[in-house]
Amino acid sequence: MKNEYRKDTPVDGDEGRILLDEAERALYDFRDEESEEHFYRMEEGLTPEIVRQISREKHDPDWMLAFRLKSLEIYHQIPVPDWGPPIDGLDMDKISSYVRPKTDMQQSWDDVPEDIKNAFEKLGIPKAERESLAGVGAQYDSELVYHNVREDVAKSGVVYTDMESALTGEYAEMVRTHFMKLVPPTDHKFAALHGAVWSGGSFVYVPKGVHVEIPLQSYFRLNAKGAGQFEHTLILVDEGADLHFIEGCSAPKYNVANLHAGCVELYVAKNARLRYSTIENWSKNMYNLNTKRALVEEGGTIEWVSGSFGSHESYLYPTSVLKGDGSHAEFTGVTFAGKGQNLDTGAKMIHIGKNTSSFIDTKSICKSGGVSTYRSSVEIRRSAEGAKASVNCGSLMLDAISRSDTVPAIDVRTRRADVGHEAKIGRISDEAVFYLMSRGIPESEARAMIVSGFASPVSKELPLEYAAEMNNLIKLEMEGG
Amino acid sequence: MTCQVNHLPVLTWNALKLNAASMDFDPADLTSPTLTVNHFYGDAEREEDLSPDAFEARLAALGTANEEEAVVAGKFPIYAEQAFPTGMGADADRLMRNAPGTVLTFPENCKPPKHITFRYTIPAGASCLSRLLITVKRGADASVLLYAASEDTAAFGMQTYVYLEEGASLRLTAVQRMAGDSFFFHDIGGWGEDKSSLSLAKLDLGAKTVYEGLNHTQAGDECVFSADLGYLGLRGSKTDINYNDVFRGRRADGKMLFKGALLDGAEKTFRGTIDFRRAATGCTGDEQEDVILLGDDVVNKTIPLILGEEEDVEGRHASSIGSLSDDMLFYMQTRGIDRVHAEELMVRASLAGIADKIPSDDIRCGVNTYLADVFKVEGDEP
Repeated sequence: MKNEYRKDTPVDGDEGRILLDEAERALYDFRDEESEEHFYRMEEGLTPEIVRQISREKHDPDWMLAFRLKSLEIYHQIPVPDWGPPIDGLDMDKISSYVRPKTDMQQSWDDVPEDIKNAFEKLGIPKAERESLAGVGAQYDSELVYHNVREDVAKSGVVYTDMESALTGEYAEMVRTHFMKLVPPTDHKFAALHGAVWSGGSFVYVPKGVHVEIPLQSYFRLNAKGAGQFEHTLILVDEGADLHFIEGCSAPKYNVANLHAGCVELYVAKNARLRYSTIENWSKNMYNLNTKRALVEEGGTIEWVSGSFGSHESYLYPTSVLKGDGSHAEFTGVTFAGKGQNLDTGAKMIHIGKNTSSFIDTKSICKSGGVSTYRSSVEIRRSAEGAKASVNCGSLMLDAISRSDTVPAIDVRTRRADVGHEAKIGRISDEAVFYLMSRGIPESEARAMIVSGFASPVSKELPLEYAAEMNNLIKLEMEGG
Repeated sequence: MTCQVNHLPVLTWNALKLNAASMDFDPADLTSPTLTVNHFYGDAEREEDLSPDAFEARLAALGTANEEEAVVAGKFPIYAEQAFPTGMGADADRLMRNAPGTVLTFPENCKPPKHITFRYTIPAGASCLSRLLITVKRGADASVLLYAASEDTAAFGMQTYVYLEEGASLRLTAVQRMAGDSFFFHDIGGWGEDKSSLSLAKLDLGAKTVYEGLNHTQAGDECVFSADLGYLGLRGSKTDINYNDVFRGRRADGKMLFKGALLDGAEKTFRGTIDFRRAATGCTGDEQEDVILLGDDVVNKTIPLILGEEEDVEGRHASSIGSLSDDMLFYMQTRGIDRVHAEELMVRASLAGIADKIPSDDIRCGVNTYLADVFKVEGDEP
């Protein structure tokens, strides 16, 4: 029998559908034109001089400038990854690493420039702050334009501020001790890039025993064309403390590449708990090469809740380092890859302490030629006696022109461990669609309902407003293409 | 010679050191294994000592060569040219370049009443390579048992190709019982046309270093494939496995089961892939791995892949890795069974399903004796 590997070409949906898709995406795709009057934009490319210029703009302490330059050296030494989605469409010579609106960070929405405030109004951020958040940071391109924390939360000793203020203010030493220690620039090429050109982001410190009852949120908006966003989030949750932090991101779509290479470092102290939730909805010209990592001490808990819907290509694997005895990590994630998207997502768990436990539950959905790869690793070191780990990954393919892969790795180095893994791939059952249609639900709606149900392990972990946003994104993806 | 073998079909993080394995084998000073063939059935055809060129020509004539896959929906497959794709890959072909080959053909509708046994005995200290092509013609139904053994440290590498025509069926059983610090590899390539069936049972017991590779292409419609692989990683041993079940026809069914135990200092890497290619509609693929960790300093690496290029499929993988639970041990101890014997019972139970598929009574008894010896403690009754 002759080999007949077919070279399939993704098939476009009908034009009407695409128009509908574009129209509804306008919720996230609106954009503001940059003007020299209102925006400062650094030249494209990546040179020591550009790095020095960013450092000058940000009034970095000397050690940070040295750190940036060293990171740039490392960036040039590390090769591009050979194992994930191809990123040859990303040309750093055409990316501006620093674009900022010509405004200072404000603590009142009234003081934020009108056009930027409107952007966040459309995204519902001020409303969410009023109704359900303890504090908000809003970043526009490379810098935060708004940061505020509720008075009662601030009074309890919780620090929630922008990274630049933290770097030079009262918490400077704390920042220096922790900054890129968990994700060193040598970790991978884009961690090094981040170390060289990082800008913006949030610093959070929750003192011992303080439980922040309602979430804090940072929202990242990248408006500039052909630009990169490199925010750094550093969160320290001290002994016995508890925090839920929500991260959201979006951008308008351009016909040139944009880049997001942020970095999140989370330190969870003894018996503390941190939930870190993300709804990622970058535009589909975005290369999302983000790094997130948590270090968990004795009895501590890190919970990741992650929804990945946007980006042209993504590399995203939140990592939990379970250092302390009895520490625990959970990762619950959903990824939806539509037309033109190649999303490589998953999680890493590293068990070091005794009696540590981890749980991964992910759902991948692909449609209209999208590629979704679930990639993970669970590492149980020799010291991690009594470790328990469980991995569940499910993939749903919605048509025959998409692709879904699962690539989970497990490395166990002690006999006193218990590891379970299960992966499934399949499609929407015709019986389920027929059942819903027989009850008067149109087919497209029935399929969207089934997909929402498939993703429910994530949505039920989110606050109501964010679960609604996630379901809306699923609906948009199901209707488009 | 250092070979890169057992490649994953798609790459992952290099730091995990799972993308491929390095294998050292010196192809100089090769000798031939002592081969005895039992129960040879008259209608089957056997051609022995084919020159490497003649053997390659026979492989090439089958039309099974892999072609570089088109980049489909963003996947960039690892590709190395092979006349007949195997699990260990192109470097194993290069290593085998000078090895003689045997061709075994079961003619159309041939249904031998008993299995044919190929018994390879490797002299102490020797290095041997051997290649075997089994062709099962249309409608034939056959059983072949491969048995490799040595009484002391030796090195042995086998390549086995299985080509199944429409409606052909083969039960292939392979048992490795090499002694001392032996080195062993077995590289398998399989190809099934419409309604073919391949049932594979393998046991690796003895050699200190083991590489196992398989690539079975379910090329035709309504193919069936099952693989049961069992191993026991002794102290300081290394086992490296790479099994790929490639679905290209429609309504095919594949099941792979891997069972093993690792004793002190044993290291095992398992790669298993269910690969649904585009247009392989209505297929189901299932893979299960169970590992019992019995010793300190064990290293168990597992990477089970499901690659999906087709919507109308069902794929599942599950792994269970761990030691005997305290509850189970307590239960055994209350019935007078100590830890060592409890572990023996669990390993025997785990491998029994595979051992039962060995069609030869004496080889099956040898397996049971071997397992009893591994767990024997001083003072035990013989």
